[in-house]
Amino acid sequence: MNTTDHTTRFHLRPLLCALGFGIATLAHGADMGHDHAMHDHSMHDHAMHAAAPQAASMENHERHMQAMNQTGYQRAVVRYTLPALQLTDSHGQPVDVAQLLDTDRPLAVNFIFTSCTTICPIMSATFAQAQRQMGVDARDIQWISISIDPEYDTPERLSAYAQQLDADVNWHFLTGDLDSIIAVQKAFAVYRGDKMNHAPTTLLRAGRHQPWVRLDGLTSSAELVQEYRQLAAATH
Amino acid sequence: MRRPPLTAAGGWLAALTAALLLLAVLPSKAATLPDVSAEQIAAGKRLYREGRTGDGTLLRAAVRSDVAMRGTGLACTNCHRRSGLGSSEGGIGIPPIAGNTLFMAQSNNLVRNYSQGELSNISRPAYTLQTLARALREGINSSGAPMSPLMPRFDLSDADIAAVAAYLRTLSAAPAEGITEQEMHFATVLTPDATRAEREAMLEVMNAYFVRKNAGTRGETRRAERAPFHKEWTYSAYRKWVLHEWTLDGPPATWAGQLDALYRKQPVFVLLGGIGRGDWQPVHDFCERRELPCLFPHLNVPPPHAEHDFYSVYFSKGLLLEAETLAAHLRHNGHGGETLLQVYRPGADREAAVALLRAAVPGGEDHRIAAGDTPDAAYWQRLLRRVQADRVVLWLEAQDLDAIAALEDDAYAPDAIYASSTLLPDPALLPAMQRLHLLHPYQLPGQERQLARFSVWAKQAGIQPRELRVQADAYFAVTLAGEALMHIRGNFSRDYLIERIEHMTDSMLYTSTYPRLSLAPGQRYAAKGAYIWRLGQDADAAQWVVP
Repeated sequence: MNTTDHTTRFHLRPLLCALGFGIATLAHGADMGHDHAMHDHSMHDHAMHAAAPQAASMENHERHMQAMNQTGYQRAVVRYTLPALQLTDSHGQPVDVAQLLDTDRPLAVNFIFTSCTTICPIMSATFAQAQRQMGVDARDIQWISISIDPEYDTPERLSAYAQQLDADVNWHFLTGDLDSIIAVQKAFAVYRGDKMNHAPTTLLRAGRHQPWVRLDGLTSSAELVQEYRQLAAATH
Repeated sequence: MRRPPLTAAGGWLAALTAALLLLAVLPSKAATLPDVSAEQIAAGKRLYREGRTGDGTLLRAAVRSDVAMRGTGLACTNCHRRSGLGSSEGGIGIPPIAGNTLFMAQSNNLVRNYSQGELSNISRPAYTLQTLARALREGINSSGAPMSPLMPRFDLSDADIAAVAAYLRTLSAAPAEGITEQEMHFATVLTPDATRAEREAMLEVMNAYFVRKNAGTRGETRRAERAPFHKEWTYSAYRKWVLHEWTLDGPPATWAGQLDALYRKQPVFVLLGGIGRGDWQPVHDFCERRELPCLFPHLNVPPPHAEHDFYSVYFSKGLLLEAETLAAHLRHNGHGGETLLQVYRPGADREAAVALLRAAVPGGEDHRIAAGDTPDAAYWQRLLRRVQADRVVLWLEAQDLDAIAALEDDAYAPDAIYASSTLLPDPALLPAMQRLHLLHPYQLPGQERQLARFSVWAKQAGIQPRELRVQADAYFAVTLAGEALMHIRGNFSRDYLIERIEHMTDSMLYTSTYPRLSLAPGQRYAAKGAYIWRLGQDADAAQWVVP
């Protein structure tokens, strides 16, 4: 079902092999986030980690450029079928998910929770920045952030969160009862059980009956805008 | 570093170990940093915790190469956490930056290379003020490699960087009190408003858990003597657990002094469990003042604003959760303008719930049952005639509910009657009434299989079920503490312990008597909703409400 157009993730398996044979001078530019994206964090001891991985042989400048240029996210084109679901927006109003998605307006969807301290503030800031960067074009899009911690993220909390972000009327923040929130995560294949295990995923869709472009990993604002423009250009 | 025994099976591993040892950057002494002042440390702390620079402005930075961010969301504490020992969220690992790590060289750790394979190639020289400045501004680490694009590239002055370095050197640096080479000390607080039966039920569970834990630990400490290298870190963290009962007496105003005296006599690492029916604020404040984790006491009402603080974590808001749940339910169903009669006995816990609900539903009366009165049928009839309420809420214990059938069999009967479940440990004792609803933050009948884990353990430990909610809560507190302490290993930081609990609670299989317990950074009440359960109906029809 998932068609991966291209993959930008750096593969670290060769690194392990190299290490196993005692070769320490190895060039790689993988950023730390993606090292860790590949394993379950639940049992590991963060305090035993030190700083980001390093490589001894590469010129600093070269490595720097590589890190800045790398996209660090995976892109896939996917179709999803959503069950009938009702969520609640930040004004406490019910939102029928099927109706929300039954639109020719482009959509941008992510999954966050307000007490998440690590990746969600960045994901939300990325949405905000991409909107600024796109200017009036951003108003064509419906931006949707769905909370994956619905019992804590009441409409009031989401409303306060939206206010902090200066979110305009095109950016919807949704919560709901626990079962519906789990169902919507499952429908978009982002459910990971414990909310602390969640991964940064952004979904873009050009219009009704179009597939979703799924971006797994954190994008920069420019990358998100670029992904959207590509998508819009391909569909029109 | 101790080597693994050279057995046939371990031979290849030993060879690999030796090869890697040669490559490892060996730890060196901490890089020399200039002398710092208390003012610098305070300024560094503001920057770390609040995201405020030395001139009072908010931090600014770019994240993920071009996402501009500003303000408290950028404060170091968000990702690296209050302890400075790092975290992980969304599968992204955030390294520790407390001075003991940052200003020390990090060698390729053999444990990680072996146990986590490809994910562990972490070594770098100790940070200096210069390399720290480069890391914060340009995102280049101490060995010259680019850091994760998630690490913000900050706009910081030299003074700000010196201040944050000064603070990092103090962060999680002092050894935590309550831990010795052999022992880890815990206390559990018992306030005088809890009954003797409740206190005994709690202590029986905790003591049995400690005995079993220590029986296991004896073996672990022996194993620590001859641990293979990749398990050293596990075994060296083991300590004998010692539980101290801190029994308070007299009025709550005197508890702070009592707690301080007890702590001076025997410092502890954690306050675990505990039981109180009335005011818990003095214990909460003591924990905050001492920076002492206070984990999951069994209470009627915890302090209502624990989320402004750090060290106390509660099961729920107790009676306040029940009041909030009913307020939300009435508001959603358009009953906010009706007449509400609340009946209660004096007590800080019940008065707090009455006040909270009254603020949401202004019309009606709050009726306190006088000390010598017993509410019989005639009492209820008189009250109904006088107030003529649409709804009645009973903040009462079982002994006051004998005659409540009279509330229903009356011309002035209200549309609905609600009773607090927290004050009624056994709903089965209530009379069968059509209009009686329970405000019930607990599992419904039929869901108790979630207690199977406790039941089996209690049976093995020879513990009879009594005061089940008290026992089940105590068991949750000790098992969660046991897991969290295993996770922090030798990093005996109280802040880190709380941070692990924030992360781990959702994945605990056992949830005491609650349908679901969930936390996250900054969240301090794990149970977030309650059932409104009409007792005359099947439990399946009970409505779950999250206020």
